[in-house]
Amino acid sequence: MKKTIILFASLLLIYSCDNEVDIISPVIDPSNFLAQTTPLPNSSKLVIEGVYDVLDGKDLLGDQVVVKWNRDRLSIFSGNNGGYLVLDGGYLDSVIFFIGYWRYATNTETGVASFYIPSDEGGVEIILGDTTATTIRFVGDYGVGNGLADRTLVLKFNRDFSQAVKQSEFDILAHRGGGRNSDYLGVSENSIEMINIAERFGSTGIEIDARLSKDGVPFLYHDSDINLRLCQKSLIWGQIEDFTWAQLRTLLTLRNGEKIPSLREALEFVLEETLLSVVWLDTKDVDVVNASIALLTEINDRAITMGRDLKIYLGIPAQDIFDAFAAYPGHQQIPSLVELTIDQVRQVDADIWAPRWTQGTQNSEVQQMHAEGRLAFCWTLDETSYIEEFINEGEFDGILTNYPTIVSYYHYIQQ
Amino acid sequence: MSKKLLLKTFLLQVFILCNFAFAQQLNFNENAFFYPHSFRSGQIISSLGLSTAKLPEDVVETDDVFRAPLFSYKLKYGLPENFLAEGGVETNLITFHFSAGPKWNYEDDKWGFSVGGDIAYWFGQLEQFGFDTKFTGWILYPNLSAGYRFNKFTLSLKSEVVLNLAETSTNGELEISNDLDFYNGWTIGVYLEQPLWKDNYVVIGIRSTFLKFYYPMWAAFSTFDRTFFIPEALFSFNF
Amino acid sequence: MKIKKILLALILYSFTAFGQVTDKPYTLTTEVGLGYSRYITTLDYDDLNKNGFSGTFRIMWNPEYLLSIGLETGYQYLYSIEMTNVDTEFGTSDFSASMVSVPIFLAIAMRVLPNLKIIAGSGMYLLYNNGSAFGDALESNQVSIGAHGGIAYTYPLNNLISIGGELQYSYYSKIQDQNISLQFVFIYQLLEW
Repeated sequence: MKKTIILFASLLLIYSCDNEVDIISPVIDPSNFLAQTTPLPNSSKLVIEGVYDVLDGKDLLGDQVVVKWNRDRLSIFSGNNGGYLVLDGGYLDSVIFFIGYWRYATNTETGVASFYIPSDEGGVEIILGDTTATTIRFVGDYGVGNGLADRTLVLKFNRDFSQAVKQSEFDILAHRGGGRNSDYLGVSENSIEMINIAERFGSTGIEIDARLSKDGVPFLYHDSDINLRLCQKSLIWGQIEDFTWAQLRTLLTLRNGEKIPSLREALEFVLEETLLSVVWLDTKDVDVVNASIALLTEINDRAITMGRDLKIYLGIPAQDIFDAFAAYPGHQQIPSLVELTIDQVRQVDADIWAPRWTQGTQNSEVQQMHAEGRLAFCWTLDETSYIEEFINEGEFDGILTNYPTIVSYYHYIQQ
Repeated sequence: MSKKLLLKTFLLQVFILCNFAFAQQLNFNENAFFYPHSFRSGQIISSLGLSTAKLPEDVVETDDVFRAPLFSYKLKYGLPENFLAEGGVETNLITFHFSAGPKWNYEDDKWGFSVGGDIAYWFGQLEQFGFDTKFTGWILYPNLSAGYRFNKFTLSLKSEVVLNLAETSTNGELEISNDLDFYNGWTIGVYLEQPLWKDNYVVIGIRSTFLKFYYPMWAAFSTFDRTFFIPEALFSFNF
Repeated sequence: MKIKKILLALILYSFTAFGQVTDKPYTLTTEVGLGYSRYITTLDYDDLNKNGFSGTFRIMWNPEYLLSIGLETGYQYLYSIEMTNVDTEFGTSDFSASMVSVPIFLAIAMRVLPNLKIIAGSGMYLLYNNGSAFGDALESNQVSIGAHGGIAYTYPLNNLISIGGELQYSYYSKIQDQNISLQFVFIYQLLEW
């Protein structure tokens, strides 16, 4: 009897294991050094972009990296474990400084990183916006975890992006507004805070999920019920559409502490605070279709008025939503994206066909879509080897992914 | 009353008692599957069961409703010199896992031990819901077991190391050999075996797996580079 | 002669005594438990009421060995709360919320001592959420996978009836909370064969 109890008690110990992940948030620029620098002008930013050789730090980043500016940060993408850096920068005298962090996309390894570009190794030319500059060297170091930056990192400019890449209108679409909760990015999926950082991962567009509250307010939320994957523990549980907007907004907190955004808040943020050019508005329920159409039409019109390069597409993932859309008066004028068959794309005159990636590159179907003046995206592709194949062998116009950093690497490094 | 008659009566009582006692004695060597006991040459014991697993929420993105049922059939065949051959098949209908391998058993009074290694081939296929996907792989499972025989039940512990040998995936026209770590993880399980009714023995087991790649969830396309804790519960019949 | 009769009786008794054990080894019993329930949660509200009532109803098949299996349902009061005049971005409002659960389980019990058994079960909990906020009802239902374990001590009053107590621990996977209940148990033998 005693032996049995001891054995079962040991079992309980084993069963007390869980899948909690320890998240490290490295402390970046504790002395606020960048406040002393001057932000780089836009003309300078393009000079820095290109493909760089990794002279020191191959363990971290592999042999080559892609350096790319986005809205407010410099991002560096590597092919090593989906590794990437996000850096803030500025110049002081003729030296350019960058401070930020590195991270692997497929796990939670991270650390601080910082660089400087010496004045005689590209600093002066970049500040002046001299596009002929080819001798650019990033000299820096990085740390691991909460440790100090004590490992050397040196990058040397190799080449510009190829003409094919520069002329390409390929879209890198970030899933759930920028990433999932399970990617542990420090912000929640389908939140304003996530949309705000999506471009740092190389995204040119995002996919967001829309649902409707009991009293008819559309909002961002992926699952059909209140659960601990998306929310902190609260007093309300059950199907999300059983609650009014006030109840959801007041009583629920997203997993990383944010409030649930309304669809209007999210789309207005994209329009006014980002440079994202595509929004894939995934309608999770038939009930939200009409409200989504009204809002996306309004925001698309405002984008045109502002001269803003932005288009919001109504995403149609299932047959019932397709039927509801097809019944909507004037649906042919609504920008839309259909995940079903190419015949159904034609039926509603959708702009984009978006099949699941697991059916392969489907080049002949994609070519048919192109011949009809439509685009083709695929979803949700995360496997590194397949990302490389789809970019090199496929003809899709965009990839929806949880790892836009990996897609960015393979896209920009093409010859 | 004569002493002879008393003695005869006493012996008759003992005989009756022993018959009933033996009738109630449990024969684990003929019925236990997980308890590592010695097998006669040619002896066969099988186990047919159902296990469920709680898959990591980060991978399957549902917090609790999803449980992964896995049907299993395992067989042990006795060989000379304390060896036996074990084989089995596990399936969740879109995935099949075939394993086989030798074991060497040692039994000492109420304790039993075994050491062995299984090699497995598995494949999964899905051609609905937007998938045109196949996965195949080879896995190696070195393993150790220990068990104790109580009067009315046995309790056994089995631990395995899980080693990836190869894996290939196909999606549409693309086929890729996946670059998995050789060391995938390890498992440890506890198995309680006893009769439920008459000569019908059942197994109640709980297993903890600590793996980077758990083959039954191949269709979730996990890309996370970390080890997950995946608990399983098993109920099976031995025959 | 008298002695021989006694001896014969003894021999016959041996058969019948063991015959009593082996003739009708299977029983079907119904178990009813009623008692106190305490919710264990990481919800951080001062006024959260976590004490309540719980009940269990089981039908168990008890074969001749240590294990029994059966089906179980019941009722567990989890929590309730009321808050008044709470300031929000939508104005001031009163709030109330409560949750109860109904398990639907497969149960297994193992007798470890003559009157002591360990019980385990797994299946689903039906979670019922009620309340109000901003003048609107909060009503929703949900299913949670769960499990529970317990230990029960029972004392037979006669061939058909036993009474005792049971300590239960329940885990709700959906809400990642637990519950402990202590119940008085009444067991009635429905059938034997």
